[in-house]
Amino acid sequence: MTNQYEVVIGLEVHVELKTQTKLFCGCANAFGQDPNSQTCPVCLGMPGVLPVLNGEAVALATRAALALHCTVNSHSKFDRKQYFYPDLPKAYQISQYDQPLAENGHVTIQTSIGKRDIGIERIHMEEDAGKLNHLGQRLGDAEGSLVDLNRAGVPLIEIVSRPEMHSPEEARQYLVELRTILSYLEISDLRMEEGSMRCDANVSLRPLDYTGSLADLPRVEIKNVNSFRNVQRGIEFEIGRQRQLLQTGQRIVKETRGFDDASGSTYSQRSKEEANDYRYFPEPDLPPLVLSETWLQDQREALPQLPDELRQYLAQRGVAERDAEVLVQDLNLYHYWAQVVELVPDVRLVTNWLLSDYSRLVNAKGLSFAAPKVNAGGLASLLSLIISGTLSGKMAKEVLETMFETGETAEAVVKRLGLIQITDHNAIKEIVSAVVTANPAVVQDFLSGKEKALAFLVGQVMKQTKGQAKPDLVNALLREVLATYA
Amino acid sequence: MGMIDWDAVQTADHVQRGEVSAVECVEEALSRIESTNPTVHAFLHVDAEGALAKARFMDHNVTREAKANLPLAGVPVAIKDNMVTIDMPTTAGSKILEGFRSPYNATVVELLERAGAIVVGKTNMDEFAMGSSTEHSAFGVTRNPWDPTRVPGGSSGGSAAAVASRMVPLALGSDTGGSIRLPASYCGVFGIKPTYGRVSRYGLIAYASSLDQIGPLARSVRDLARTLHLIARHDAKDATSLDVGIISEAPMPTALQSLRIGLPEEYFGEGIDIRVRTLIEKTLDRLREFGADLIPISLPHTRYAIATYYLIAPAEASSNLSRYDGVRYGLRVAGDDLIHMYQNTRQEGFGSEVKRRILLGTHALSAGYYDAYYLKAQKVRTLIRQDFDKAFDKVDLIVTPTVADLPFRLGERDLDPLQMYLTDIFTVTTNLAGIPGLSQPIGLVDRLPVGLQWMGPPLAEDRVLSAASALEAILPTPEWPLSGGIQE
Amino acid sequence: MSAIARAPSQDLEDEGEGSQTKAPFYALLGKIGVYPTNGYGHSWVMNALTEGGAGLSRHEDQNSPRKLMNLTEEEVRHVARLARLAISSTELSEATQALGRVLDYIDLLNELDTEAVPPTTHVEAIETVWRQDRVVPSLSPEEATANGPQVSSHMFVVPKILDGGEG
Repeated sequence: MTNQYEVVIGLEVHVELKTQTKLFCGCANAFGQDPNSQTCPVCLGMPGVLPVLNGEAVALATRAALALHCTVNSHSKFDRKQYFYPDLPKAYQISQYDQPLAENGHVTIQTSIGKRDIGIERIHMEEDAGKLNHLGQRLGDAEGSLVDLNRAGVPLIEIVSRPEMHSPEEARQYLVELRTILSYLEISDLRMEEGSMRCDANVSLRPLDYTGSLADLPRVEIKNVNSFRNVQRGIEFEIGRQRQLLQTGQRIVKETRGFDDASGSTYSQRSKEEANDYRYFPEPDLPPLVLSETWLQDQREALPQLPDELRQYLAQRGVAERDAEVLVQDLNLYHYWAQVVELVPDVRLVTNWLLSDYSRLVNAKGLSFAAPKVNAGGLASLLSLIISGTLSGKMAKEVLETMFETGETAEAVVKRLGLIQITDHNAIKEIVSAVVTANPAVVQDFLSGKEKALAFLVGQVMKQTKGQAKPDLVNALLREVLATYA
Repeated sequence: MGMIDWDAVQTADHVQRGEVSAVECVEEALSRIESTNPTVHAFLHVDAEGALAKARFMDHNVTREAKANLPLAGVPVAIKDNMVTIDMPTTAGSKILEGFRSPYNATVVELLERAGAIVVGKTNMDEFAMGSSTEHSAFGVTRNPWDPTRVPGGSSGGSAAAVASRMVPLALGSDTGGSIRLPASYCGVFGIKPTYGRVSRYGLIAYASSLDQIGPLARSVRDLARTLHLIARHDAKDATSLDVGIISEAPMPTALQSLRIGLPEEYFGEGIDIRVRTLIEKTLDRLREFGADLIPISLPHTRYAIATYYLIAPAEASSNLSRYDGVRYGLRVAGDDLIHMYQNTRQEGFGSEVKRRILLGTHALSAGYYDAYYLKAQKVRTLIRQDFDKAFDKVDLIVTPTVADLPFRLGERDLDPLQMYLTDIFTVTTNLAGIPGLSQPIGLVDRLPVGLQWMGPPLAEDRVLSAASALEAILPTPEWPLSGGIQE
Repeated sequence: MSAIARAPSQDLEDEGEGSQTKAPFYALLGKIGVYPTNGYGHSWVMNALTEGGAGLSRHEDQNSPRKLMNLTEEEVRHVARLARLAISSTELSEATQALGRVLDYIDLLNELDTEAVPPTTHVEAIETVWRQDRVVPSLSPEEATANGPQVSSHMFVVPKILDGGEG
């Protein structure tokens, strides 16, 4: 007997595909509409209806599979998964059982000891269920429920990982990377709060001296968690709960548990005697799905640049890994970055500006890079003014803020406020001489070795030039003039 | 010959030529229904007003030229009650769908109406098409017009009885294991189950999805052909619908000379009712006289067909009938909570035969049994298909009795479901193989009709219809029951 | 005429609606070859699905066949629950018997070695049927819920759900 356990986590992620229509009928695939306004005889499960597969859903699912390095099966089929529930109109869900669309992929995550591939066992297509609105606070107290079938039949892919994650943090990283990859494909809204991305976590503890099959370990499934953070919390709680049970010599029951956001704990959801028997069998209403090599090639070609490819590219362009990750995680930001870099090839300057001052302003104002207030050309002009020496960094920040407020171009702001940096040697020298003359005591301090005194004199010059004098020039000229006093 | 004797083609011809109005055709049908239906109980619902309104519309608004393009102009038709209709209720013979009103029409209904046919009503059937006698309807039995103490066969017994008793010239049925051909044989009319996928199933209330096919019942081969010509069309709403061209509207009677007709030994065993056997053999002699080449063949897996069918059909049915749960339509019987509402609704809504098949099918798909039952049956299904593939290498068509006996008496096979199941032994094979099968009346014994079944290779409807047409031409004109009015 | 009088189906007719109609009908079917002539309710040819798994031979003379298909009331109760049917205890015993007989009959399939036979899930040789991703107008919420036994705010009302999830 050991008290040492390895945490074993597998994740099942459901993703709603962003097609125009549902998986098996022509109803609009739209979120947030009036109850039962996006339904037809097919998705209502009326007598006599038949499903017809949405080809675009297959295309989107295939692209997801390819982006996750899966093998797409040229032959797959649909099956009926049967259970009674009011949100499932036909009392069976059309899904894929033993011949899924795709298998054997992976997601690469960054762990403390380097990169690691988390295996994806399979990706299959299925239809979503409708929504129940419970009359009352909780399911158990409700006197009844209202059934809205707008979501019934919306296309889903289910991405099943292998049980290869060993900490809640790894699970979170897997989810983040998975979402990043899928977001590049633009196949889903990926909003956990709206249910367009959902996650179930399977958690078990493997005693280190256990040599049996992982499949035989008692496994707990945490269902319907509504954020990445809560997936992590739920797993953390579950690890603690299971460890406690094992350490006090109790057995872990294979079951499904819900997650309670308020308490951060999981609770048992299904009684044991209600063991599921889904009675899968091949869907007779849908012929098998056979994907030609040409069609698959078209899907491969439709794939956009993926996060790993972007990481490589940014490394080549000399973007620091940390900065690169920020760009990878926000494609709108990256696209903006790429446009600015196109105009102002100083990668370092652009990256620094974008990730610090510009992002700060965007965030402070609650804006987004999808619809930038100052477009790439505008920022490029501003940065060009820095490079040409027309503006100092400090001035540029002020100009940028004004650009955000008024929507003017950099040139317009500069012109209106007269913010041209004074680079005229003689003009600055004149002011420098005047300042030196007017502050004999300070000059004396400097001459007696107090370097700080110089800063005061620089400040005076900048004050008189309203900050527009080029700072390094002021410095140089001051020293030049002061040298004559020595 | 009066209007009552016209087949669909004659009726349409008269309406197209303006010799009778659509209203007259519909009135004739309605009056025959009024006099005959109380005895036969073929119809569950008759929409007299709706049908007359449509007929009037045709008479007043459709020009002679436009009517010429309506191959079923003014033809009153009956639809089996498992095909959904907007204008009439659809129950599939089940209490669980009592009061249900479909928001859409089955594709076949649309196609028939587009061709000028006028749907006068919905016909009785075994609940959800599960039965061979039309005794298992929640709304009463249908009686055989030849002998009201006997069953009309099933499950399309209402459609067959309506056509045989000349309430309508044409009706649609559905056939999962023989449900068109068996009642066609028992009632003495023509009926064809096309190749699986020929006719759209959209709007057909599913019994066993991989076996179900819609087909016509009529009093002539040409009516079957004209109807199939119209309804056997590709339908984008049915993913299993075939896109393979159109069946000829008027097949030429085939030259029987040198037509190779296979006679499978398994269908001509000793157990066939001797009277049926005698008439079939007499008919085969006629075919031989006209030059057909009768070739003994073997379909060795026939013996396994019923067992195969009674795994596949109930398994699919158990799934297809799960949607009747009291939530969105149909019957709801209250319960303290959801699961009790489900159980009470389904317990009260379904009849005993339906429940029996749901239980059987659920069991066949349940954990630990799938391989031994459902998968096994699908494999045997392959063997049955291969039997036919091999046979059709040697012969053009196959001929068998449609059913081994004459119409049985009401209640006679109620005691043991298995006994009822075995009524379908000669018809289920074509459903399992997906091939066309046609039942043709070949005469009467003891005033009860006998049917002969033609089977053809996949998509060979034209060949099947041509051969049936040739046989029709050499047989005496069929008789129809209830000619002298109703005798109690 | 005497030949006709001896025909099994003639016997059937003569017996009318009595309960003894079964035997001749089965005899008839046995002769056709679709029903085992040694009666029903007994096992005949068994296959290797029963035991061991290895012995795939299907010899007609196999000894002491075990009933694979025998059905218990408990199993039928379980299946009824899966199918959401509240069957009474009378129905349960009737159903168990009736289904048991059907399953005994179905046992016939175990005569066949289907190890190498592919299953038929679709009889047609068609594949990959899909449609364009184009929106078709939906029903109105009124139409969608017009058949609902209980409807509120265009939604179907269902009674309270006691256990947590599907199943």
